[in-house]
Amino acid sequence: MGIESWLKISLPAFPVAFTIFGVWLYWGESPLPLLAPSLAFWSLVILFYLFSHFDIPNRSYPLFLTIAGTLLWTVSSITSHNLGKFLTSNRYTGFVSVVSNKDFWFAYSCSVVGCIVGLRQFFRLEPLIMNQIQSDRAARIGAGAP
Amino acid sequence: MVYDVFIFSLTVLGIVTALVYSHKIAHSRVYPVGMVRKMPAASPAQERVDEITVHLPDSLLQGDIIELVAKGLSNSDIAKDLHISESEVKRCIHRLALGASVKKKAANWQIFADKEFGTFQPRLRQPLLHAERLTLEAEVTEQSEILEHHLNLFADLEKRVRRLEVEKVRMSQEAAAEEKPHPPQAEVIVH
Repeated sequence: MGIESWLKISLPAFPVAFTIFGVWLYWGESPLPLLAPSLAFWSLVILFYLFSHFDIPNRSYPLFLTIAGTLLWTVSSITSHNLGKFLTSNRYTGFVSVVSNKDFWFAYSCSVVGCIVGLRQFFRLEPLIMNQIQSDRAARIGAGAP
Repeated sequence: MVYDVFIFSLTVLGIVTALVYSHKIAHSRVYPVGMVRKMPAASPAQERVDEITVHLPDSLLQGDIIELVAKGLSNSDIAKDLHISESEVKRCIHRLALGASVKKKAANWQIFADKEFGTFQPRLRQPLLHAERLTLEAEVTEQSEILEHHLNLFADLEKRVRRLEVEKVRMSQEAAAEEKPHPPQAEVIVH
């Protein structure tokens, strides 16, 4: 994969990087409520990119996959909000109490599944998309277009 | 409680949908969408084919079907290749067959293919109209009757040959028996 492809995959990961390096490492706060929706949003952006750059004739698989990514992000956001409220309450006593909270599991299972699906499709389909983009650029240059 | 059920059902729905459609996409033919919605050319010959087929119907699907028909694939193979149903393929071919301009372009494609590819086989199979299909069926029936008649003649001929061979063997055996020397007669001594 070229640098262009790595940029495509790393730019949507800025919220994740901000959560880890800003919220957690710099400010010293718990990243758990913000990390899960950031991960889910990263996978959603990747799926939107793929949805707009490839086509399967007479099939709507990319659309349904993007809708599934949106659903996972929604669940991850709602449960992360409740996880954040839990972390600021008296019930929070440490990592064990977080792990026993069901909102934590809902939030991170959705975001991790979304991430795995999005990244797997990206690494599989990005070479095809880049080939098409490069051939289109070559055809445009060959035709003398500005 | 309602909140738990709602969140749980949404989670399961999202995860299952994501996994199922991810698997389906992984096993489907994917076309990258470029500035021009067509497959990248694989070779100079394919580029020439694309120049010809660009004048054919705009629909990418119809263009793909025409290419696969030109390769001699059956309707079921075309349906499997393009991930569509066989009925859609038949409908598309029927719609193409109704257009007189498409027939002319298909004939031009045939001339181009013969010139470009020389002895390239198989030839373009034009979609058959109903009347042509009936004529072809009648011809097939007639040819099969002629074939059956010839097969019967051949069987009769084989029987005759076998009979002649048996007769030949019998005659040779009789001839061999006739040529056998007679046993010498006892000498009569008259005292």
